[in-house]
Order: sequence, then structure tokens, then C-alpha cells
Amino acid sequence: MQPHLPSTAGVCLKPQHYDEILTHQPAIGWFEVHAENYLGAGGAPLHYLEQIRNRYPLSIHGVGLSIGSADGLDDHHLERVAQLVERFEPESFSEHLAWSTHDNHFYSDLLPVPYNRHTEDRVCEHIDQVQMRMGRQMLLENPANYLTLRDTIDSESEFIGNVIRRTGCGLLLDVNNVYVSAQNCHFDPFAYIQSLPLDSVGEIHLAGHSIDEQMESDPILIDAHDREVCDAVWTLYRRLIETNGARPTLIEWDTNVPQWQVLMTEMHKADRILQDTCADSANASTR
Amino acid sequence: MPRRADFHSRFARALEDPTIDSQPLLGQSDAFDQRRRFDIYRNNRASSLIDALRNTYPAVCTLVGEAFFKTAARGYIDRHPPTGPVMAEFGGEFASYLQTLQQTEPVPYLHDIALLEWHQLQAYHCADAPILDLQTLAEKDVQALPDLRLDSHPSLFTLQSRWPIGTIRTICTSQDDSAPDPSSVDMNRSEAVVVTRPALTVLTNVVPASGQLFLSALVRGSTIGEAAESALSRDENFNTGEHLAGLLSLGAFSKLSDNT
Repeated sequence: MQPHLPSTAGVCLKPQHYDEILTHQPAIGWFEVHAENYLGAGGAPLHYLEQIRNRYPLSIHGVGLSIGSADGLDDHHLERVAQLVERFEPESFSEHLAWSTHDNHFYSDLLPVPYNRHTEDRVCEHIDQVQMRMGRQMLLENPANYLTLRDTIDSESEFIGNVIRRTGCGLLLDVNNVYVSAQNCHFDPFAYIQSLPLDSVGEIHLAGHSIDEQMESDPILIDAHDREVCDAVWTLYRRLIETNGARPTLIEWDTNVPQWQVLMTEMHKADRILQDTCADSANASTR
Repeated sequence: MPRRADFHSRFARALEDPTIDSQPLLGQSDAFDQRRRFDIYRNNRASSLIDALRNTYPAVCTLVGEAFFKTAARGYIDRHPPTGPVMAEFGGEFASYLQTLQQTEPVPYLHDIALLEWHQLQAYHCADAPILDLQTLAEKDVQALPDLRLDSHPSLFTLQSRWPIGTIRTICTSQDDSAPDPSSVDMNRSEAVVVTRPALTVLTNVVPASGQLFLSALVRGSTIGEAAESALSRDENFNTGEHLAGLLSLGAFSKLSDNT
């Protein structure tokens, strides 16, 4: 059976914190790294990842496979990521419902996929290819949206539901992405969450977002991962956990990486919500 | 419904060229300005690639200033866009690109600084390899030493510059007061640098010109004796043992060459 991450809170692993973690070995549920930061041939990144992997459960999160590409996956890149996964045997591997590469150009962003039958087929082919090469299930992350696309016919949750049903992949539910999309594109975030196949959630992401307020009448939320999780996202997360039960939950923080203690405070907030829910369900079952 | 490949090509073209109208790609919305939303993707792409170049080239950024660095980075991204998602592999032509910009003429050492920073990054990520130590060499017959050849460590990079690039780089990136005062640096002084990574930390050291000649000859596959002759042609007082011991302590070599 494929190993699973524990249903506790984890944090993203950043080079600024390697020494702190190895010196103090704090009580962290698990760590997540971006695959593309660990594809060098050797040196400090792989050395520290190995040390930390020996002590903690690990999730490897791809940011560059370009699952939503039109061209097919970059075989060379898939091979490198697959070899990293083979080496570190993480409890989870995940990628995004997005594209970043086209015609041999890397666009360094998670670009939106229009939702229609044609794109659904391509995304399914690519996920099949990843899962076949890695010999394991991958999780697919819902995107943060800033706009809607003319070529979109299906709803996002319908699209994700179809992809999960057809490929057997799991869902990485990014609650901040849901909130950012809902605010930007004007829909009810919890109704969206409820329309997803929640039984397939293998991991949850929480992160902070920035707000572009250049136009007062039309503020835009940007999925920046550069600050604390906002109150509205915590509220949404608590409702999700209360409805769906505890799931492995990551605090993401990729830009303006804070002091270790700040990251810990965020992680403890998530852990408290997970524990409260466990306690409630235990009380309910003994009643 | 348009074919999907058409969508990706059109979206990509609009990302790269801000004069292309993004509206035909976007859904109908009375509630918000979709074109303005599309610009977020344009900004994200540019800012994340500029950040990647700034991470790789901090001393270059200090030397030219943030505003010009951004302009140069944008030009570079247009001409040499990344082909893959590993940011540690993006930006290898930046040193040459900077040299083509007229505005960098007042900073003639910029190319060498950029080259040094690129190779520091390569050293950080390169394959792990054993280090040839003095003990291994000491166990060899003294008579045989001049005929030995040495294999470079994968992290090794060396450059003889016409400018004091090691000192300039230290001044630009130093976090404390230990760096020399910039006004005290003789800019007409040449400097040779050696980059190595014997363990996890990348080391950058300034070596004498004769030592750099000695090292370059060894890197090219010369024997220790041949390399020493090349160094002696520059400095008749060149001390082979001392320089060899110094280079070994920096982790410049991984083993005795099989061709020895």
C-alpha cells in the first residue's frame, strides 16, 4: 500500500531553516519541498533533504511538470522528478492543474487551463503518464484563478472531478487558492469546496495572499505565499475539516520566508484545528 | 471550439508581448476587468524570472543598481528565455549578454563578476566528489610527483581577471563590516580567483597569478612538473609544494588522474 502523510500539520522546507531543524529536531508532522529546487547533482540542498527526510515524513511537490500543457510532458524533466521521487520515497507526490511550458519555453508561472473535453483528455493523459512512470498515485492541486477563459465550457469542480475519476489521482485541496479564486471571480468558496470530490483529498494547502489594490473598485487577490494565512481562509479551513475530517495540512510560505518561529505559530494554528476536530468526532462517537 | 494548442500558443504570445490584446482569450465578464487580470500573469512571469537572476547575480545587481538590473534582466529574458523549470539552470548567458549592453561600459569588470557568480552557483549544485588530500600525495614517491596528473573536482572554477574581481565581489555581497572599503581598492590591480566546494559550502579564494597559471595547466591535463614550469615562467620564485598544498586544502582536485 502507498504510504500516507500523517493527518497533522506540516511546513514547507526552506534552506533558511535547515540548521534550525537539524539542531533542534522540532515536533513537525511532515515537510514539503518543491521538486525543482532539488534537481541539482549534489551539494547542500540534497544533503540537507536527506538528513531531514531520515527524520520526518516528506511530500514532494512539483511546480514545473506542466500537467496542463498542450504539447505533452517534457520527458526529460519528468524523468528527473521521477528519479528524485525514487531516491527520497516521499509519502506524497503532487502537481498543479496548470501549465508553465509551451513550445520549449518555460513561463515561470502556473498558467490557467481552459476547462473543456479536449483539455480534460490531455490532462488525464499527462497524469496517467506521471503515475505510470512513478508507479504511484499523484495528487492534483486546484489552481488560484485571476480570470475566466473563453475556451472554458465545464466548471472547475466538474473538470477536477472527471480527472480524478478517470485517472485515480487524488486531490490536493489548496484552501487559499479556493479563497483567492472565489474573491477574484465572485463565487461562494464553500459551495465550490462542497462540489469537489472531497473523499479524494490527500492533502490540504494553506498560504497567505497579497492584495493588488491599484483599482479600488476591483481589488485582486494574488497567490503570493508571502505572509500569514488570512482569517477568512482559516474559517474556510475549519469548516472544511469539520465537514470532511482531518487531512495532512501544509503551511506554505515561499516568498519573504519568515523566522522559523513564525512558521511554527502558523503550523500550531492548523494543528489545533485538526485536534479540535478529532476531539469532537471522538466525543461524538462515545456518546 | 478552438483547438487547445491554439489556446496555448495564443496565450503564450500574449504573455510575451504586452501589445497583443488578451481579450480574445478571456471569458465575458461585466463584473471585473479581465484584461487587467491577464496582466498579473505578465507581471508574475517577469518578476519571478528577474528574482531568479537577482538570486544568482547579487553582486552584479549591487554594481549596476536595482533599476538597471531589472532593465537588463528583462532584455535577457526576451533573448534567452528559460527552456526548463529549474531556476538554478537559468541565466548561464547573462555574463555575455551584459557585455553587449552599451550602458555597462563604465563597469568593465561586470562580465567577470557575472561569470564568477554563475560558477559559484554551479559549484553549489554540482555532483559530490571525494577530495584529494595532501596525505595521498605525500604517500607517493617524491621522484614520481612531477609526472603526476590530477583530476579536477567537479566544483572547480578558476578565472584570471584584469580586475580585482574577488575583492569587488566580497565588497558587494558582504553582510558585515569585514569587507574592505571600496575606495581603498586599486581598480587597476588584476586578480585571479578559484572557486571550490570541498564540502557543502562554496569557497571563493584569490590566488597569485602564478598560482592560477599552475592550476590552469593542471586543469588542462598537464603534469605537476609541466604546470610548475608554466608557473615559474611567470614567477621565478614560485614554490610548487606550497601552492599545491594550498590548492589541495581548497579541495581543487578529486583524485590522481588515471592517465598518470
